[in-house]
Amino acid sequence: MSSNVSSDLIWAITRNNSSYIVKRGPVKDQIVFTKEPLSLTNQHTRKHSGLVNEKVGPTAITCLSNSQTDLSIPTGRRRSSWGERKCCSYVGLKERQYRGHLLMGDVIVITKRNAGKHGNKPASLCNRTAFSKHKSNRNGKLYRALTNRRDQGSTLRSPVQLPRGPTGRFTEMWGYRLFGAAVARASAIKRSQKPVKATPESKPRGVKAKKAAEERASSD
Amino acid sequence: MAAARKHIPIVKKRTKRFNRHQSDRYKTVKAAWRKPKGIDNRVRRRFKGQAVMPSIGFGSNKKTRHMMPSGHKAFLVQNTSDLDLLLMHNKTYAAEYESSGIRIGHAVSSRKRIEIIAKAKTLGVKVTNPKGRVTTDA
Repeated sequence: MSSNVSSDLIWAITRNNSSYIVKRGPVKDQIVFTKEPLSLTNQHTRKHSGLVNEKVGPTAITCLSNSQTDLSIPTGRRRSSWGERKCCSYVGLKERQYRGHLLMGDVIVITKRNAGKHGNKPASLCNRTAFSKHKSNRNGKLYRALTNRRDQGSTLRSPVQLPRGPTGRFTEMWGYRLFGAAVARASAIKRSQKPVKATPESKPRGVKAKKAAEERASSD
Repeated sequence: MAAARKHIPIVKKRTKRFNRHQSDRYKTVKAAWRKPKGIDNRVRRRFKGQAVMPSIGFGSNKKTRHMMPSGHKAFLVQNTSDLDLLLMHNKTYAAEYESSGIRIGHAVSSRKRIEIIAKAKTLGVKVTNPKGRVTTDA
Protein backbone atom coordinates (compact mmCIF):
# COMPACT_ATOMS: atom_id res chain seq x y z
CA MET A 1 0.00 0.00 0.00
CA SER A 2 1.11 3.51 0.56
CA SER A 3 4.79 3.94 1.04
CA ASN A 4 4.39 5.91 4.22
CA VAL A 5 2.00 3.60 5.99
CA SER A 6 3.35 0.30 7.19
CA SER A 7 1.55 -2.86 6.28
CA ASP A 8 1.52 -3.84 9.94
CA LEU A 9 -0.53 -0.79 10.71
CA ILE A 10 -2.95 -1.53 7.91
CA TRP A 11 -3.33 -5.07 9.12
CA ALA A 12 -3.96 -3.87 12.66
CA ILE A 13 -6.71 -1.63 11.37
CA THR A 14 -8.34 -4.05 8.98
CA ARG A 15 -7.93 -7.23 10.99
CA ASN A 16 -11.09 -6.81 12.95
CA ASN A 17 -13.00 -4.40 10.83
CA SER A 18 -13.23 -4.68 7.11
CA SER A 19 -16.04 -5.05 4.64
CA TYR A 20 -14.24 -8.01 3.11
CA ILE A 21 -14.49 -10.20 6.20
CA VAL A 22 -16.96 -13.05 6.12
CA LYS A 23 -17.60 -14.81 9.40
CA ARG A 24 -19.62 -17.96 9.85
CA GLY A 25 -20.39 -20.31 12.68
CA PRO A 26 -20.20 -20.06 16.45
CA VAL A 27 -17.86 -17.45 17.84
CA LYS A 28 -15.68 -20.08 19.46
CA ASP A 29 -14.91 -21.98 16.29
CA GLN A 30 -15.63 -19.31 13.78
CA ILE A 31 -14.73 -19.63 10.14
CA VAL A 32 -13.26 -16.36 8.96
CA PHE A 33 -12.88 -15.84 5.26
CA THR A 34 -12.11 -12.73 3.32
CA LYS A 35 -13.48 -11.55 0.01
CA GLU A 36 -10.37 -9.59 -0.76
CA PRO A 37 -9.69 -9.70 -4.46
CA LEU A 38 -5.99 -10.24 -4.02
CA SER A 39 -6.29 -12.98 -1.47
CA LEU A 40 -5.25 -16.31 -2.88
CA THR A 41 -6.87 -18.64 -0.42
CA ASN A 42 -9.62 -16.36 0.89
CA GLN A 43 -8.39 -16.95 4.41
CA HIS A 44 -8.43 -13.86 6.57
CA THR A 45 -4.86 -13.94 7.76
CA ARG A 46 -1.91 -11.62 7.66
CA LYS A 47 -0.02 -13.93 5.38
CA HIS A 48 -2.78 -14.33 2.84
CA SER A 49 -4.02 -10.79 2.85
CA GLY A 50 -3.59 -9.15 -0.52
CA LEU A 51 -4.57 -5.75 0.75
CA VAL A 52 -1.96 -5.56 3.45
CA ASN A 53 1.06 -7.26 2.04
CA GLU A 54 3.28 -5.19 -0.15
CA LYS A 55 4.52 -8.07 -2.15
CA VAL A 56 1.53 -9.80 -3.50
CA GLY A 57 2.49 -12.33 -6.04
CA PRO A 58 0.38 -13.82 -8.74
CA THR A 59 -3.20 -13.85 -7.75
CA ALA A 60 -5.14 -15.86 -10.22
CA ILE A 61 -8.56 -14.47 -10.64
CA THR A 62 -11.22 -15.21 -13.11
CA CYS A 63 -14.85 -15.06 -13.47
CA LEU A 64 -16.78 -17.52 -11.49
CA SER A 65 -20.07 -15.86 -11.98
CA ASN A 66 -22.72 -17.37 -14.17
CA SER A 67 -24.62 -14.20 -14.63
CA GLN A 68 -25.13 -13.23 -18.21
CA THR A 69 -25.42 -9.58 -17.50
CA ASP A 70 -23.00 -7.29 -19.11
CA LEU A 71 -20.10 -6.21 -17.01
CA SER A 72 -19.60 -2.62 -16.34
CA ILE A 73 -15.98 -2.72 -17.24
CA PRO A 74 -14.21 0.52 -17.04
CA THR A 75 -12.52 1.23 -20.32
CA GLY A 76 -10.04 3.74 -21.51
CA ARG A 77 -9.52 6.54 -19.14
CA ARG A 78 -12.09 5.43 -16.71
CA ARG A 79 -9.97 2.43 -16.01
CA SER A 80 -7.61 4.67 -14.13
CA SER A 81 -9.29 3.88 -10.87
CA TRP A 82 -8.09 0.32 -11.09
CA GLY A 83 -7.34 -0.28 -7.47
CA GLU A 84 -8.78 -2.51 -4.86
CA ARG A 85 -12.26 -1.48 -5.80
CA LYS A 86 -11.76 -2.39 -9.39
CA CYS A 87 -9.98 -5.57 -8.45
CA CYS A 88 -13.07 -6.35 -6.57
CA SER A 89 -15.23 -5.95 -9.58
CA TYR A 90 -12.88 -8.16 -11.47
CA VAL A 91 -13.44 -11.07 -9.16
CA GLY A 92 -16.81 -11.53 -10.63
CA LEU A 93 -15.70 -11.26 -14.20
CA LYS A 94 -16.87 -13.76 -16.66
CA GLU A 95 -14.78 -12.55 -19.45
CA ARG A 96 -11.57 -10.77 -19.75
CA GLN A 97 -11.00 -7.56 -21.44
CA TYR A 98 -8.62 -7.44 -24.32
CA ARG A 99 -8.48 -4.31 -26.42
CA GLY A 100 -12.01 -3.60 -25.48
CA HIS A 101 -13.19 -7.10 -26.29
CA LEU A 102 -14.25 -9.56 -23.72
CA LEU A 103 -13.00 -13.07 -24.00
CA MET A 104 -14.67 -15.90 -22.25
CA GLY A 105 -13.47 -17.31 -18.98
CA ASP A 106 -9.75 -16.80 -18.95
CA VAL A 107 -7.52 -16.81 -15.97
CA ILE A 108 -6.60 -13.32 -14.97
CA VAL A 109 -3.42 -13.02 -13.01
CA ILE A 110 -2.96 -9.99 -10.85
CA THR A 111 0.28 -8.93 -9.28
CA LYS A 112 0.99 -6.00 -7.09
CA ARG A 113 3.77 -3.75 -8.19
CA ASN A 114 6.33 -1.94 -6.16
CA ALA A 115 4.34 -0.50 -3.31
CA GLY A 116 6.96 2.12 -2.60
CA LYS A 117 6.59 3.51 -6.09
CA HIS A 118 2.96 2.89 -6.82
CA GLY A 119 1.46 2.71 -3.34
CA ASN A 120 -0.33 5.99 -3.70
CA LYS A 121 -1.48 5.29 -7.23
CA PRO A 122 -4.06 2.58 -7.16
CA ALA A 123 -4.40 2.79 -10.92
CA SER A 124 -0.93 1.52 -11.55
CA LEU A 125 -0.59 -0.58 -8.43
CA CYS A 126 -1.72 -3.83 -9.97
CA ASN A 127 -0.50 -5.63 -13.02
CA ARG A 128 -2.97 -7.89 -14.61
CA THR A 129 -2.42 -10.42 -17.31
CA ALA A 130 -4.99 -12.66 -18.85
CA PHE A 131 -4.14 -16.20 -19.77
CA SER A 132 -6.22 -17.92 -22.32
CA LYS A 133 -8.27 -20.75 -21.06
CA HIS A 134 -6.97 -22.67 -24.00
CA LYS A 135 -3.46 -22.47 -22.67
CA SER A 136 -2.26 -25.98 -22.15
CA ASN A 137 -1.66 -27.30 -18.70
CA ARG A 138 0.91 -29.63 -20.12
CA ASN A 139 4.40 -28.82 -18.89
CA GLY A 140 2.74 -26.39 -16.54
CA LYS A 141 2.75 -23.54 -19.01
CA LEU A 142 0.29 -21.48 -17.08
CA TYR A 143 2.10 -22.28 -13.90
CA ARG A 144 5.42 -21.34 -15.34
CA ALA A 145 3.91 -18.09 -16.43
CA LEU A 146 2.47 -17.66 -12.98
CA THR A 147 5.79 -18.06 -11.33
CA ASN A 148 7.98 -16.24 -13.78
CA ARG A 149 6.84 -12.70 -13.62
CA ARG A 150 10.00 -10.68 -13.58
CA ASP A 151 8.94 -8.78 -16.62
CA GLN A 152 5.92 -7.43 -14.85
CA GLY A 153 7.91 -5.01 -12.78
CA SER A 154 7.01 -6.91 -9.69
CA THR A 155 9.22 -6.67 -6.67
CA LEU A 156 8.87 -10.36 -6.13
CA ARG A 157 11.82 -12.61 -6.34
CA SER A 158 10.48 -15.23 -8.61
CA PRO A 159 12.10 -18.38 -9.87
CA VAL A 160 12.77 -18.75 -13.54
CA GLN A 161 12.10 -22.41 -13.56
CA LEU A 162 9.02 -24.28 -12.66
CA PRO A 163 8.92 -24.36 -8.90
CA ARG A 164 9.07 -28.00 -8.08
CA GLY A 165 10.39 -28.98 -4.70
CA PRO A 166 12.26 -32.13 -3.82
CA THR A 167 9.02 -34.05 -3.58
CA GLY A 168 8.04 -33.05 -7.07
CA ARG A 169 5.22 -30.91 -5.77
CA PHE A 170 4.84 -27.19 -6.01
CA THR A 171 6.32 -25.76 -2.89
CA GLU A 172 6.55 -22.44 -1.24
CA MET A 173 10.28 -22.44 -0.95
CA TRP A 174 10.86 -20.59 -4.17
CA GLY A 175 10.83 -16.85 -3.87
CA TYR A 176 7.32 -15.85 -3.12
CA ARG A 177 5.96 -17.86 -0.24
CA LEU A 178 2.53 -18.24 -1.74
CA PHE A 179 3.44 -19.62 -5.13
CA GLY A 180 2.01 -22.92 -4.02
CA ALA A 181 -1.28 -21.24 -3.30
CA ALA A 182 -1.18 -19.31 -6.56
CA VAL A 183 -0.70 -22.47 -8.53
CA ALA A 184 -3.43 -24.20 -6.56
CA ARG A 185 -5.82 -21.37 -7.20
CA ALA A 186 -5.07 -21.29 -10.89
CA SER A 187 -5.70 -25.02 -10.99
CA ALA A 188 -8.95 -24.63 -9.11
CA ILE A 189 -10.09 -21.97 -11.55
CA LYS A 190 -9.17 -24.12 -14.52
CA ARG A 191 -11.03 -27.00 -12.98
CA SER A 192 -14.08 -24.85 -12.42
CA GLN A 193 -14.12 -23.88 -16.07
CA LYS A 194 -14.52 -27.42 -17.25
CA PRO A 195 -17.98 -28.43 -18.38
CA VAL A 196 -20.05 -29.86 -15.58
CA LYS A 197 -20.97 -33.49 -15.74
CA ALA A 198 -24.66 -34.21 -15.45
CA THR A 199 -25.67 -35.88 -12.25
CA PRO A 200 -26.49 -39.53 -12.85
CA GLU A 201 -30.08 -40.50 -12.32
CA SER A 202 -30.75 -42.08 -8.99
CA LYS A 203 -31.34 -45.80 -9.00
CA PRO A 204 -34.05 -46.51 -6.48
CA ARG A 205 -33.82 -49.66 -4.42
CA GLY A 206 -36.30 -51.73 -2.45
CA VAL A 207 -39.87 -50.47 -2.24
CA LYS A 208 -39.18 -47.42 -4.33
CA ALA A 209 -37.67 -49.55 -7.08
CA LYS A 210 -40.79 -51.70 -7.16
CA LYS A 211 -42.99 -48.66 -7.36
CA ALA A 212 -40.94 -47.19 -10.15
CA ALA A 213 -41.09 -50.48 -12.06
CA GLU A 214 -44.87 -50.63 -11.64
CA GLU A 215 -45.25 -47.10 -12.87
CA ARG A 216 -43.12 -47.85 -15.87
CA ALA A 217 -45.18 -50.94 -16.61
CA SER A 218 -48.46 -49.08 -16.27
CA SER A 219 -47.32 -46.26 -18.50
CA ASP A 220 -46.34 -48.77 -21.17
CA MET B 1 -18.91 -32.53 -5.95
CA ALA B 2 -15.56 -32.96 -4.38
CA ALA B 3 -15.14 -35.61 -1.75
CA ALA B 4 -13.99 -34.40 1.61
CA ARG B 5 -10.37 -34.44 2.55
CA LYS B 6 -9.18 -37.54 4.30
CA HIS B 7 -9.59 -37.24 8.02
CA ILE B 8 -9.40 -39.27 11.18
CA PRO B 9 -12.58 -41.13 12.10
CA ILE B 10 -15.25 -39.02 13.71
CA VAL B 11 -15.88 -40.30 17.22
CA LYS B 12 -18.88 -39.18 19.21
CA LYS B 13 -18.10 -40.04 22.82
CA ARG B 14 -21.72 -39.77 23.81
CA THR B 15 -24.81 -39.47 21.67
CA LYS B 16 -27.41 -39.64 24.43
CA ARG B 17 -28.81 -36.47 25.91
CA PHE B 18 -27.98 -35.26 29.37
CA ASN B 19 -31.26 -35.04 31.18
CA ARG B 20 -31.73 -32.87 34.18
CA HIS B 21 -31.69 -34.59 37.53
CA GLN B 22 -35.19 -35.71 38.61
CA SER B 23 -36.76 -34.66 35.32
CA ASP B 24 -38.01 -38.24 35.11
CA ARG B 25 -39.77 -37.84 38.43
CA TYR B 26 -41.64 -34.58 38.20
CA LYS B 27 -43.37 -33.23 35.16
CA THR B 28 -42.64 -29.68 36.23
CA VAL B 29 -38.93 -30.44 36.03
CA LYS B 30 -38.08 -30.34 32.35
CA ALA B 31 -35.33 -32.40 30.77
CA ALA B 32 -33.18 -29.44 29.73
CA TRP B 33 -29.90 -29.73 31.57
CA ARG B 34 -29.36 -27.71 34.73
CA LYS B 35 -26.38 -28.35 36.89
CA PRO B 36 -27.40 -29.52 40.35
CA LYS B 37 -26.22 -27.10 42.98
CA GLY B 38 -27.61 -28.55 46.22
CA ILE B 39 -25.31 -29.23 49.12
CA ASP B 40 -26.42 -32.84 49.47
CA ASN B 41 -27.12 -33.57 45.82
CA ARG B 42 -25.97 -37.04 44.90
CA VAL B 43 -25.66 -36.32 41.21
CA ARG B 44 -23.44 -33.35 41.92
CA ARG B 45 -21.34 -35.50 44.27
CA ARG B 46 -21.04 -38.16 41.53
CA PHE B 47 -22.36 -41.07 43.54
CA LYS B 48 -22.38 -44.51 42.03
CA GLY B 49 -25.40 -45.22 39.86
CA GLN B 50 -26.34 -41.60 39.41
CA ALA B 51 -26.76 -39.70 36.16
CA VAL B 52 -23.55 -38.44 34.59
CA MET B 53 -23.06 -34.74 34.25
CA PRO B 54 -21.85 -33.06 31.09
CA SER B 55 -18.18 -32.26 31.12
CA ILE B 56 -15.47 -31.16 28.79
CA GLY B 57 -14.28 -34.73 28.49
CA PHE B 58 -17.25 -35.54 26.29
CA GLY B 59 -16.09 -33.05 23.70
CA SER B 60 -15.17 -34.14 20.21
CA ASN B 61 -11.66 -34.22 18.86
CA LYS B 62 -10.77 -30.78 17.64
CA LYS B 63 -9.90 -32.14 14.24
CA THR B 64 -13.35 -33.53 13.68
CA ARG B 65 -15.41 -30.99 15.57
CA HIS B 66 -18.33 -29.53 13.60
CA MET B 67 -17.69 -32.12 10.94
CA MET B 68 -20.60 -33.70 9.14
CA PRO B 69 -20.50 -37.45 8.55
CA SER B 70 -19.31 -36.70 5.03
CA GLY B 71 -16.23 -34.98 6.44
CA HIS B 72 -17.26 -31.49 5.39
CA LYS B 73 -17.85 -28.50 7.57
CA ALA B 74 -20.95 -26.43 7.04
CA PHE B 75 -20.67 -22.97 5.57
CA LEU B 76 -23.77 -20.87 5.18
CA VAL B 77 -24.23 -19.34 1.76
CA GLN B 78 -26.71 -16.70 0.71
CA ASN B 79 -25.55 -15.77 -2.75
CA THR B 80 -23.19 -16.87 -5.46
CA SER B 81 -20.42 -14.54 -4.40
CA ASP B 82 -20.29 -16.34 -1.06
CA LEU B 83 -19.48 -19.45 -3.03
CA ASP B 84 -16.34 -17.93 -4.47
CA LEU B 85 -14.83 -18.11 -1.03
CA LEU B 86 -14.92 -21.87 -1.19
CA LEU B 87 -13.07 -22.15 -4.48
CA MET B 88 -9.94 -23.28 -2.69
CA HIS B 89 -11.67 -25.11 0.08
CA ASN B 90 -13.80 -27.74 -1.53
CA LYS B 91 -11.54 -30.72 -1.10
CA THR B 92 -8.06 -31.80 -0.20
CA TYR B 93 -5.98 -28.79 0.59
CA ALA B 94 -3.76 -28.07 3.52
CA ALA B 95 -5.85 -25.30 4.94
CA GLU B 96 -8.02 -25.08 7.96
CA TYR B 97 -11.39 -25.10 6.29
CA GLU B 98 -10.33 -27.18 3.38
CA SER B 99 -13.47 -29.20 3.27
CA SER B 100 -16.65 -27.30 3.35
CA GLY B 101 -20.15 -28.27 2.57
CA ILE B 102 -22.57 -25.45 2.18
CA ARG B 103 -26.03 -24.85 3.39
CA ILE B 104 -28.21 -22.33 1.61
CA GLY B 105 -29.84 -19.79 3.87
CA HIS B 106 -33.52 -20.36 4.58
CA ALA B 107 -34.67 -17.09 3.09
CA VAL B 108 -33.01 -17.55 -0.30
CA SER B 109 -35.50 -17.71 -3.13
CA SER B 110 -35.80 -20.69 -5.43
CA ARG B 111 -34.52 -18.73 -8.40
CA LYS B 112 -31.31 -17.89 -6.59
CA ARG B 113 -31.04 -21.38 -5.19
CA ILE B 114 -30.89 -22.74 -8.71
CA GLU B 115 -28.10 -20.31 -9.51
CA ILE B 116 -26.22 -21.21 -6.37
CA ILE B 117 -26.51 -24.92 -6.98
CA ALA B 118 -25.35 -24.60 -10.58
CA LYS B 119 -22.36 -22.62 -9.53
CA ALA B 120 -21.52 -24.94 -6.68
CA LYS B 121 -21.36 -27.68 -9.23
CA THR B 122 -18.79 -25.89 -11.33
CA LEU B 123 -16.71 -25.21 -8.24
CA GLY B 124 -17.07 -28.75 -6.97
CA VAL B 125 -18.61 -27.61 -3.72
CA LYS B 126 -21.01 -29.89 -1.93
CA VAL B 127 -24.41 -28.46 -1.08
CA THR B 128 -26.08 -29.98 1.94
CA ASN B 129 -29.60 -28.85 1.16
CA PRO B 130 -29.87 -28.83 -2.62
CA LYS B 131 -33.48 -29.90 -2.70
CA GLY B 132 -34.92 -27.11 -0.61
CA ARG B 133 -37.49 -25.06 -2.58
CA VAL B 134 -36.05 -26.20 -5.87
CA THR B 135 -38.05 -29.39 -6.23
CA THR B 136 -41.40 -28.20 -5.01
CA ASP B 137 -43.31 -29.85 -7.85
CA ALA B 138 -42.18 -33.34 -6.88
